[in-house]
Amino acid sequence: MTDTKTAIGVPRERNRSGGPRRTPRSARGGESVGRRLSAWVDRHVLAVFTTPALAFIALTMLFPVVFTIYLSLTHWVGGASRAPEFIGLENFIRLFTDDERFWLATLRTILLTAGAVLAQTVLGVAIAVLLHRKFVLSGLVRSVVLLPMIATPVAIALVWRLMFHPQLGVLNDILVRLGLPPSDWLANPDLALFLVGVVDTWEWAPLIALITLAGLTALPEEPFEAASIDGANGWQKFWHVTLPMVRPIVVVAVVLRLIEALKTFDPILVMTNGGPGFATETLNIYAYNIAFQYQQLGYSAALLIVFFLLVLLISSSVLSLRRGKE
Amino acid sequence: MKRRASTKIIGGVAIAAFGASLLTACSPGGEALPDVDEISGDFDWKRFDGETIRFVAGLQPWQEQIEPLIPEFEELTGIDVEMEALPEDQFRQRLQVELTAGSSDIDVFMTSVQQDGARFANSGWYEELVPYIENESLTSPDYDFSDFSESVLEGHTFDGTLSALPIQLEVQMLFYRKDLIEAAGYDAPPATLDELDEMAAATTDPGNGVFGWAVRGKRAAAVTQLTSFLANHGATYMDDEGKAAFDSPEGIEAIDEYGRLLREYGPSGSVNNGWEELLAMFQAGNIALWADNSGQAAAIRDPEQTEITDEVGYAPMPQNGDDSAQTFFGWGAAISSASEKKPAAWLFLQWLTSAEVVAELQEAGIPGGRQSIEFGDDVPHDFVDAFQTSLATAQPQLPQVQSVPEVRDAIGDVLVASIQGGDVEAAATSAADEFDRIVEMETR
Amino acid sequence: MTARRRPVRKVAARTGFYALLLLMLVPFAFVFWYMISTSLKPQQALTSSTFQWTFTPTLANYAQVMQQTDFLEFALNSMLVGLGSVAIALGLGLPAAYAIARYKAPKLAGIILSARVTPGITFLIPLFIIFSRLDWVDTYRALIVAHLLITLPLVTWLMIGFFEELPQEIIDSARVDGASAIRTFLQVILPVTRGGIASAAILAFIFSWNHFMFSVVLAGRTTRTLPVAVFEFMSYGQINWGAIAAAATVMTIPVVVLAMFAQRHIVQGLAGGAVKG
Repeated sequence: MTDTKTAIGVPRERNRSGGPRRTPRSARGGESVGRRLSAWVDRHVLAVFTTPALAFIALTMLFPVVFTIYLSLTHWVGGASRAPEFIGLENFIRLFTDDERFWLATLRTILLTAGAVLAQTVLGVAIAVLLHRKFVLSGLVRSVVLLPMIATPVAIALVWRLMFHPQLGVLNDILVRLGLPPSDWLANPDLALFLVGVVDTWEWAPLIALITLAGLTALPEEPFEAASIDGANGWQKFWHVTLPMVRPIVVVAVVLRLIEALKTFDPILVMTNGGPGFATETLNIYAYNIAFQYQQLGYSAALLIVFFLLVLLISSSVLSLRRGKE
Repeated sequence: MKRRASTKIIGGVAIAAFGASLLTACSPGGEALPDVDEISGDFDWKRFDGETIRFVAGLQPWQEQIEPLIPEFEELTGIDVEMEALPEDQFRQRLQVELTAGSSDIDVFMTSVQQDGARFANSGWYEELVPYIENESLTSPDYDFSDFSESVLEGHTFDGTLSALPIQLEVQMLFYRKDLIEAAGYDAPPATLDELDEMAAATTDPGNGVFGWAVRGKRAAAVTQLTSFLANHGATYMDDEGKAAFDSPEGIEAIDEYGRLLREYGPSGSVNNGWEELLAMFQAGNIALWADNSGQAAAIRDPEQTEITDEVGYAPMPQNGDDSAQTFFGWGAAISSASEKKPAAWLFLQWLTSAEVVAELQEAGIPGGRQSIEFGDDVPHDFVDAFQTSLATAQPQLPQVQSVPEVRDAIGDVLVASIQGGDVEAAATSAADEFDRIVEMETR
Repeated sequence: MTARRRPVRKVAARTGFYALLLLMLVPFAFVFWYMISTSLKPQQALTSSTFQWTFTPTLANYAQVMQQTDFLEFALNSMLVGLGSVAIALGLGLPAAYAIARYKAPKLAGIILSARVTPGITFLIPLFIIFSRLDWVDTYRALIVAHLLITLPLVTWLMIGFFEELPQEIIDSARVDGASAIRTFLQVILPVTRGGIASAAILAFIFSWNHFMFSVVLAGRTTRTLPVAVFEFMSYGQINWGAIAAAATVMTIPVVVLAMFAQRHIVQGLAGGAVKG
């Protein structure tokens, strides 16, 4: 245990250089270099084992992130042939005070995320409870439930786009057969964002369902027996016993989904590209457009930083909510 | 702690500086071809035998026609052409990523001067073409540069620098189904917007899946098609001082009419339709009257793609008054200033715009901007007439600013509101503010 | 009376349960049925102005996809990028996850997971600049490095959960035998967690296979992956929905097979990570 502590307590850099120096014991002449190295590794397991992964992350993340921060303080439109022009916080000021599209995109991002993740959580837990019972062909049913989340999102989005097609799509055909008026679906600005949320829910409710199901399977029997003895009915048992016990695992699944839902990109790009008008333009899509359609790389960088902080803020506040409850 | 924080900052600055140096550093590229002014001797197509160049293009009828001809160039010069053709949105985005990063991988690219010209020129992405054209060692004596009309070349010149050469000229025109308007009791295409309104009403037949009228409704894509409506109502995108003018009463009238026609006679879901979707519907026989750019005609006339080829008529865009409401758009090709094979790229660009290739495409109905070249005999006469009468008085389809993509999105949003039957005036006013803000940002 | 009512209630409950189950399954299954049936439709049935429920199935759309595009090449690209990025992610992520789990170092885990929180667009331009300076654009290397930003955090996060579940005795007994940390890890720890490793690898592969954004910008003509290629099928003219559906079907098949094959592992992997959070 003690060597564990030094491994964590001492920063990696100092470990590497300082390690061999304070090892008089292993400096005894007879030992091979291999043995000494191995002994040294044993004393610095945490550092040695995590350095490759951390170094990779540092290499691939540090430059992009620092570069993005730098860019956010510049006006840079020309690309490689022109140097970025330093303008201080101007991009951020413009973003917050003079860009309605940014605020609307923020609002849509939050609406979409909140709506979709809430729907996924409710449906996901419901599906998990349903699948937790024993029934014929349950293996097959679970496989079908797994499909939406592992199928390629771009493919799925294309299929939905065709289903929503006002003329060729199947959904209008069903509406008409039921005697209902056809809908414009994704071409209706009032409906488009909601439908993006529907597709997202269809795709990811299974994730929450399967994680919750695993949590349910791992639950001990005793509390349920106790509740039965107390005369609780099925619903009461679910509400007062099952739910509190699986809540931690559900919260983890929800945080996972929150982070991903805030960054939803493929389905929107494929189904609407932010349209009609700007009806489905979320922060991610807006940032992409600013960078790759308008070439405003500095401004896009500022937006990305704000977006990153938003993702961080929302996911960490949900996590702390969970800690507070425990 | 303090020390650690300051090392972090220093590290950050170092990385930023490293990044900045990455941006300006010239990539090594050992096998770059010589500069244009270092090349002398007789003109020889085979001068760069064995080189490979990369050509990035949008997927369009023009590209579809040029692709089978490229082996002829490879034969002629011994240069290998890697053509990468992507759907228009993806093409624009890919092009901008690579040019932004200063990548030397692109040698020749398709470009639209109305859309990209000022912006790309300002970024320094176009190679100045005049030195290549004037170098007799690099330009064939048969090239006949004076064959390009001066006004077209002027459109491809920014700050006195010729940046691209035209490969395709387009005008907005009306594609109509002769059989359908005949069945509705008409024997000629509409000449005015009022007639168009009437004819669209008469040909709309939802039971048979026919929509009387269609035009683009997708945000940015629709803006090129709105220009003729503005002209019809005596409105413009911007006034002489460069301020937004489409929110004038006439402008709002025009935008209103654009939306109303689509709402009443157009396919449901119009706000998601670009030319790609509409071409598919027209080819499938679902549209009676369709206004779009003339480049689409090549796909309409291809019997392998559609059965309605013989039923299609072509007419100039209807206009109400005597003032012209005709508009044009153009595609060009340019050499990337970051290319390391510019002289070879010029041979390709020269070939693309040579009299032989332009003639071959124009034979198939795709006009390329050379005055001496006529349409082929197989090209329908009404198409040729419509094209030539329109072009004679046409104005550019896009406002002449730098930030065209941003401005297109802002104006396109008003169109979407109009098609949906929303408050056009409010939308136009706020889009006009946005327009002015965007243009103001350019000059800072 | 009560004795008779019970079975009735039980049957009713049972019927209600199966009805709910069916209600839940229909939307999931319908989309896949729709994808497959569209891929088998002849072109006329697709472009007619109303939806066609009945048609004579044809493989023409599949033939078209195979003939007109380098579909197999794109599939191979996706496969290579997926395998490469998963292999490296395992190499880097397994030891890291083990050390983090054993020495309870959630801060280090946080650093690795931060790649997951950062919006992907942040990486696009900087990575493209680096790769074009290294002359890496349109190479597998570039895509593998980019996809590692997806696979490495995923593998690490999942495996922390599995390693934390390992009983301390296993490590201790190896230690008593005098094995070094590296040997313990390679010869004791990895074999006992191979189920978890398999599930992490499969999930990471699926996520890499499905990933779209990096390849849109970083892949070139020769390394384009399937999702991007299929997205780019949507050219102009008769937007070829049959071919798109066929491509989507073929693209989905490998992940579905993989998932069916390893269903238990996947669920366990997802849950393993989540339980430990």
